Amino acid sequence: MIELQKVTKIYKPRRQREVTGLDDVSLKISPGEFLVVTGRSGCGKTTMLNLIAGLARPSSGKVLVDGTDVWSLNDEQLSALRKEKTGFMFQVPSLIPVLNVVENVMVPTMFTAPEKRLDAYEWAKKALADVGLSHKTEAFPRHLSAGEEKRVVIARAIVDNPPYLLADEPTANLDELTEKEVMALLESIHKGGTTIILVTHHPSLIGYGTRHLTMSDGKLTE
Amino acid sequence: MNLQRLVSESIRGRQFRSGLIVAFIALLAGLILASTLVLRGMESGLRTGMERLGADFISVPYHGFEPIVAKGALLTGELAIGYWMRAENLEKVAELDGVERVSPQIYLQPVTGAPFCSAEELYVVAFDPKTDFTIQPWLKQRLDRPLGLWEVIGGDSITVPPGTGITLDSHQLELVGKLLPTGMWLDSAIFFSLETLGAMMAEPGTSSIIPPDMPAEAISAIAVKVKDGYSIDYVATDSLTAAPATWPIRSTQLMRLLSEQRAGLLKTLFMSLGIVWLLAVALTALIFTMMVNERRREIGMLRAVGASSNFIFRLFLTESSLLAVGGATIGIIVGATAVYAMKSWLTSTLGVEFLMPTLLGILALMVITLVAALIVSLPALLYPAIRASHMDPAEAMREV
Repeated sequence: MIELQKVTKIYKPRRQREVTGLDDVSLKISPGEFLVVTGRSGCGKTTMLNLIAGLARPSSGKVLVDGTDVWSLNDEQLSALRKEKTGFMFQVPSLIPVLNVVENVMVPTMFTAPEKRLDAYEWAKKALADVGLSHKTEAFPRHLSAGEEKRVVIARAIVDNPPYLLADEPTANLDELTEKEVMALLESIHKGGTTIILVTHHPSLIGYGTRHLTMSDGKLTE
Repeated sequence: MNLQRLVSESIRGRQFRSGLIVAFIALLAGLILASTLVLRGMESGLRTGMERLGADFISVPYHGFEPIVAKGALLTGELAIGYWMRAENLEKVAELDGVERVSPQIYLQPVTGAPFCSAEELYVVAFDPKTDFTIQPWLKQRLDRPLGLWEVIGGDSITVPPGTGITLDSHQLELVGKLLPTGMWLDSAIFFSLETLGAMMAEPGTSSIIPPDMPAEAISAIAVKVKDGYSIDYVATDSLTAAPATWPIRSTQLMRLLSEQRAGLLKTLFMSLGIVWLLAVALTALIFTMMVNERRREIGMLRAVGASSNFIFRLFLTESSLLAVGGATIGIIVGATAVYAMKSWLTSTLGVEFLMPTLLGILALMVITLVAALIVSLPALLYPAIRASHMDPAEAMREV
């Protein structure tokens, strides 16, 4: 289970006014859920995902992942937690341009124990097969379409079967057909047992979730 | 997939950027090694020159001493021209306890604008080839016979080759040998025997190279070599009593005068070298910091999939170190080769004999330069790596 307890995140940009990204948010996400959070750009959706993934530290409150207070851990432990528990789909392109598709998908396996890493290539190929990109293993990111790139990112996020998948605007900049393909993939991953937390400004995605929340000015509402 | 693979793919995959960084570091490292080699080569050349000079001290006329020293000129261009001591001083000094060898020198009137000399002023020196131990050791090729009548040896600034006839004033002479470059007054001088000087003086008419006020039986200086085990200072002091109205100048003083003359040049070169080092470190830090900034998104992604800050630190330190070591190694090899290839050009340009270290010495210098370059560059390599490892992953993804 993922739990946010009265979490507030305040940004203090240099020489600018403080900005409240998340305002006293409490939330419980049970295993097996497909949570869709909608809201306008800049309302705090990405901030919430970053806090859940342990990529950003809350200004106050606690973030618990399977009972572990994320920010009670040191850097090594927190990195291990991220690797074990979460897969992350960033809104912006995040593939490494000098690695081919299969190598990009293998990146998270670098942080797996060496003895478990032996099958990393097979895992990556399976993940690519799951997203329908078996024929693109040797291609480089510059040769992929936007939809294919999203699918590689999904493959990378699920390569070592994390229990939670965090998706930040997974259908941004995609055409309608590709959007449906990506969402169908996420649905299939959810059916495989992965808990998904998806944030989007696109109301059409609400129907894919098992639960929907709206975010506005850093606050969550049902 | 592991850290090494990620590093190698990053270097190979960004060939243009990696090539530029390697070329830049190679240029800096090559420049640093080349400068070091040139400075050391010049220093060795001068030191060898002083050793070859042979004299432990040179006695000069007392009245000529002050203006000579004041100008720092004994070795550098102006001789004790116009100051004389009695020739009998030579024997008196030779008889001193502890003196191994003495040799006289007579400095005649310089010639301006000699067509066979690249220097503006040509010094004309008469010496005794039989006792000489300060001029002939500089010969490029040892003469297979004693220096004969009307034969001359020329310094490095003499532009004609040995075997050429030259006219000095009204005298017909033949150049039979040339000296190595010394960086001293010897470069722009010609030397002939006392016997030739006598023959010139015996010729009818006046000669512009022979000073009209030159007393009979007079010499300009005495080069003195002290026996092993004797104190040069004591022997030099004794020479004051034995040869009144003379003043001994020790080789250490000569070296100091020479060093002072070179100090300006060397100081400038060392300062330039220091500035190059500082610039190298600053620019390297800048380049690697730019490399980190360019890859903020990659850093954020790696952190999100499980990379610790320690992994990010090692990733960037490994990549920058490999580029730095690669660049420095190439630069050092190219720099050493270039200096070696340009040895002759450097010798003629610097006007000082340029001595390359031995092959082992060059290799040692290359290793020392590489290690020193890496130690000095360490902050430039560490700073970007630390910056990358401390980057907030969420911010890294946001600010692109």
